[in-house]
Order: sequence, then structure tokens, then C-alpha cells
Amino acid sequence: MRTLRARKWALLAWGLLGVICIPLIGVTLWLLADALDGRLLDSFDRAVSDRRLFDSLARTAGIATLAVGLEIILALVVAVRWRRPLSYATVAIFCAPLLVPTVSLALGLQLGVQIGQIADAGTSGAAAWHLALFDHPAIVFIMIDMWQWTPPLVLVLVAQKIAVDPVHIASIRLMGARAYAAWFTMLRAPWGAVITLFLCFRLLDWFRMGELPQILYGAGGQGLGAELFSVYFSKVSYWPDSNGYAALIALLWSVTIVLTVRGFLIGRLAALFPAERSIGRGAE
Amino acid sequence: MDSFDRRAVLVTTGLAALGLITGCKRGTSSKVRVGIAAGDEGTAIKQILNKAAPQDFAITELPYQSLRERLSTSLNQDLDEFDLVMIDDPWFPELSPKLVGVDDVVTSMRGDFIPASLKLGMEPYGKGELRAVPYVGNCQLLFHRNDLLTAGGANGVPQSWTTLRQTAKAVRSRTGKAGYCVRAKTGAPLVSDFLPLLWSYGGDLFEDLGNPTAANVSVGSAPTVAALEAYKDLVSLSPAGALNFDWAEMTAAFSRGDAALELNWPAAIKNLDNEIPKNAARGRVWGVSLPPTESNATSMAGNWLLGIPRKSSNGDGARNALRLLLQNQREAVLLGNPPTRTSLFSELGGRPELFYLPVLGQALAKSTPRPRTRKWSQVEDAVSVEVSRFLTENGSAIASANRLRAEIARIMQP
Repeated sequence: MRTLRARKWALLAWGLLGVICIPLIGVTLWLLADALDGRLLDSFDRAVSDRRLFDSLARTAGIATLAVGLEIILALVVAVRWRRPLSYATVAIFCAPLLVPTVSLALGLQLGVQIGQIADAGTSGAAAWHLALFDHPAIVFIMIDMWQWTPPLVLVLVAQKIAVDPVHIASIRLMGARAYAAWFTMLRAPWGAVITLFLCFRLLDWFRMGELPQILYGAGGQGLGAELFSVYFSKVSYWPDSNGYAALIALLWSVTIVLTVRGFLIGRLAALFPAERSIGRGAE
Repeated sequence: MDSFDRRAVLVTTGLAALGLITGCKRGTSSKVRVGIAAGDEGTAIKQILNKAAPQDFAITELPYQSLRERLSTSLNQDLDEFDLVMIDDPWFPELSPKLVGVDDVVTSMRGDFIPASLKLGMEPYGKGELRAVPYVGNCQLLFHRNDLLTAGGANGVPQSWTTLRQTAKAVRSRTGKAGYCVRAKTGAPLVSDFLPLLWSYGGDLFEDLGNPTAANVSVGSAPTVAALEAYKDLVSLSPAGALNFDWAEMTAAFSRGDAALELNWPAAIKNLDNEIPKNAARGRVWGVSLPPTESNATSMAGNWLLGIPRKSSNGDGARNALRLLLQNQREAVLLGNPPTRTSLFSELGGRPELFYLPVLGQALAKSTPRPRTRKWSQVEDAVSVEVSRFLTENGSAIASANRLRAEIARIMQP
């Protein structure tokens, strides 16, 4: 029975892997076509010398690190200081930013700009500071990301904090530990796991985020200040004769991510989720 | 019970999937599949087709950028996805190898088309086979708020960019409103706002826009520098935040009376006519005129073309739909689409609600298209990057112009 179940799971896992691999197969086929046309080396040359590609990667990495870093710090500060139970209203409010689709968010911001213009006209330009803020894409991106992602992170951290049994805290304190040390002992593992996952997923997400910068800043914005990796990549993908080049970037990017994240995820998460703590095994 | 449920679910799912597939196939196989742009221009086409025979057409309406990407993918990969498509004229050079000739559709009315519009659908430009029919005769016009110009002490509508900048400064100092409004969001908006200035100052991106090559890049000379500096001046005369303005924000600023002058497209006219209150005695407090000029009088062409993909499996149906649309182009004009045929300009130009047609006809006749290269999206991106950098960084216009020249030459390398 167990073998049959294991086989089913294995089949499902391979099926899912196949679905995940479809884009990579497409990319590989493009590269093969390019290789047959003798253009693959040209694409490699282009990738190595494409300064805009590296600039967009560096820009994205910089903005993403700042945004996600600030989100984690802010969420930790709020979660550490949180003393109340979580009410339905609090949960709803903290989840609300995630419910706003990116397109609506960007359009809402644009509407905000228009309202701001009306305010400016009514105050002879005294309210123009927020419009000047829009001239700095990095600040705008970080603020939007923090608005959207800090509250849910706070929610998860607080939920884990509330789940800690006060008896455990009391027993650690009985052994002479200070309050913060007791909490730290109890929360280090669950908060560490959540923050690690959050860091990993959010950083990766920044390299996929296309709608927001494109709606707010068009094809780059303020020089190239808003040209994130996804914006540049989407441009390249639709330029004539660039399909092979775009496929190469996609493949190189995927390989880089897998190699970078492999150790991070497998190593760090495996340590945070040891096998004996696996879900569903406790009762057996 | 358990196994019965599973079997039932499997059979039901299978039948539903089969029904969906066959249903979709039956539903669309005989229909003409039309890809149009969302917005007024596409809506007029949709209304004409649906009025004639809604059961004969499967219309896919996509936002501008989505339509561009979908056509690029669909046509370049030889997919049989559409029978008739709307094409913005700058996309035409890239898509034209994937379109069939349509000379036979326009035979009887060929001489009626505005020559500048008809050339846009020819491959090679201006002299080859007609592969797309110009249907919406968009070209840029200068929109002016007469109330603000009068309040600013202006003596009529400015005819040159130099006068326009002086007028805009006067309006700003006397009324506190912006004298001008740019559309400077990076990408196509910025480029379509800047190029008319470049042309007007006597410059261009290439010496021969019908055959642009790396060898005939002409940007970088004195007109480019003059146009860049003039554009930066116009940005400073625009409302706060205008560096991120696209069409909607620019049109809204004009509509609210926050800006006195701007280059805009005819698509804005209908909205503005509804939104801007009329003066009881003098009627409209705004109007349109030919774009200002310095040494070259022209306007930017932005026609919508209609073409039939080479891989269409319903070419005859598409040809008939195209004929139907041309026969009913008058109706499209009444719905707000600018015409592309002389007879329609003559017939409808006197109508009060189409007050803009005489000016539009003149502008269209003298209009300039964007360079006819399949690498336009890359060239456009390069122009956008350099102009945007010049506007936001403290570099010199000469340095920007030279960088732009080098970048376009690199892009155009075979």
C-alpha cells in the first residue's frame, strides 16, 4: 500500500516537474535553433558585452535588497513589540495590501498623481512634493513594496509569536534566562524559516516584476532609473532577431538562480526543518 | 461507490473537455477572426462589423501594448490566429513580410486615399505592394486652450516652436498655469512627443526614412541639439510630474485647464469636447491647429492600418471584411475615427461636430512617419533612453546627440 502511494506521489512530482520545465524546454529549443543557424556564439558575445543587461540586474538587485531588507527589519520590530492577540480586523487590514492586484495598484497611484495635480493647482504648487517623489523610481518601488509586503510578514511573525506556549517561556526563564533570551530561543527557528523563505521568494520576485515599473514609468523611466531586469528582458524579447538572445538570457538566468538558491534553500532550510519535525509524521 | 465516483468524474471531465474543444472549433472556424486595439479607434471597427453581421466575426480586443506583442508573436511565428488585424503604422515594417497583398481590395478607391497615408502600408515604403490599408488617419495636432492663451496675452496660436515657448512662458507668468504639457513617459510616448520637434527643427533620425541604414543615420547634428534643448525647455513649462505623463495624464491636464498647449492625437478630441465646458458666447474655448514649425512644417503620422496575415486560413472572409469596413468608413469617421480618404474629408469637413477635419486633412497630407525599419522598436528605445537621460541628468545636448547617433548606428548594423 505504502509503495503504491509512494509511486503515485513520485508520478505527481515528476508530472509537476515536467510542467515546470515546459518554459525551459521552449528556451532550449530556441537556443538549439540558434545554434543550428550559427548564431549562438553571437548571442553569447552579446550577453557578455550587454552593459544594459548588467546594469538592469545590478539595479534590480540593489532596489530589491534595500526593499526586502527594510521590510524584514520593520516587520521584526513590529512583531517583537506586538503584545495583543490578532483580531479578525487586524488580520483583514494586514492582508489587504496583498489583495490589491499590481495593475490596480499602479493605476491607483497614477490616479493619486492626478488628484495630486489638482491639489497642486489649488495650492499653487505647494503640494508638488509627492510629484517630485515620482522622479525617483527606486524610492517609489521600495515604498510600494514595503506597503504591500511588510504587513503580511508582520502577520506571520506575530502569529508564530502568539503560538508560543507561555509555559515554555516560563520554564526557560526558570532556568535563569532573561525574557528576551527566552523568546529568542523559542522564536529563532520558526522566524528564521519564515524570514529565509520570505527573503528568497521576494528577492526572486523582484527579478520577475514587470507590470508595476512598466505602468508607472513606461519603458525605463527617468533615464534608465526604472529599467529593472524584467523590463529590459521584456523589451529584448520583442525586438526583432532577438528571440535567441532572449532565450539565452532566460537560460543563463535560470541556471544562475538554481545554482545560487540551491545551497541556500537546501542547506539552510533543511537545517531549519529537520526530518523528524516533518509535517504529518508526529502522530505515527 | 468510490470507484464509481472516480469513473463518473473522469468521464464527465473528458466529455466536457471534448465539448469545449469541438465547441470552440465550430464556434470560430467560419468566422473572420479580427484583432483590434482597445479604445475608440478599435471600437468603431467593432461596431461596424457587429452591425453588419455579428455572427460572422470573432473580435479580439487588446490593449495597445498587448496587441503589439500578440501580433509580433503570432505573425512572426506563422500562427493562424487572426484573419484581419489592426496595425499601428510603426509596427508595419516588422510585420509586413507576414502580410498578404491587398491591392485588389482598394483598386477602385486607390486614388482617393491621402498619399501620405497610403504609403504607410506599402512595402517597400511608398512604392511597393500594398500590404495594409490605412483606415484611421491619425496624426498629431497642436491643441490649444484659447482661454488660457488670451489670459496669457498671446496673439493667436503660436506658429513656431520659438513663439510657442515664449507664449507658454507668458501664460505661466500671468495665469500660474502650465504654458505647455509634454508627454514624457519613457518609451513610445516620449519618442512620439520629441520627434515632431526634431523634424520641425530640420533634423531626422535617418537621411532616408524609407530606407534607414547604419550608413545614413542623420541624428546628432545641430537640429538634434536644438530640438533637445527646446524639449527640455518645454518640460520646464509643463505641469509638475509631467516627466511621467502619458496620454491620459497629458489630456487630463489640458482638459482641466492646467496646460495651455500640447501636441496630441485626434483620439483626444471627443473626450475634450465633452469635458471642457463651452463658453456661452464664443462656444469652444479650445481648438486644434497644425503643429508649430521652425524650418520644416510637418506632423507625426500614426495611422492605424488593416492587414491580412499570410497564414490566415480565412483570407477571403478577411478581404470581404476589409471591403465592408472601407465601404463604411464614413460611419467610422462619424464615430470619431479620422479618415484616410480625400472624399470623406471633403464630404464631412463642414459638420460642426467634426470641426477638426479640415486641419487634420492638411496635417495628414504633410505628415511624416517614423522611420520604416523593422528595428524601429530598438531605435525607439534608444531615442527614449537618450532623451530621457538628457532631461533628467546634467549632461550636454551635444553629448546626448552623439551618443544617440552611435547607438542607432550600432542597432542598424546588419
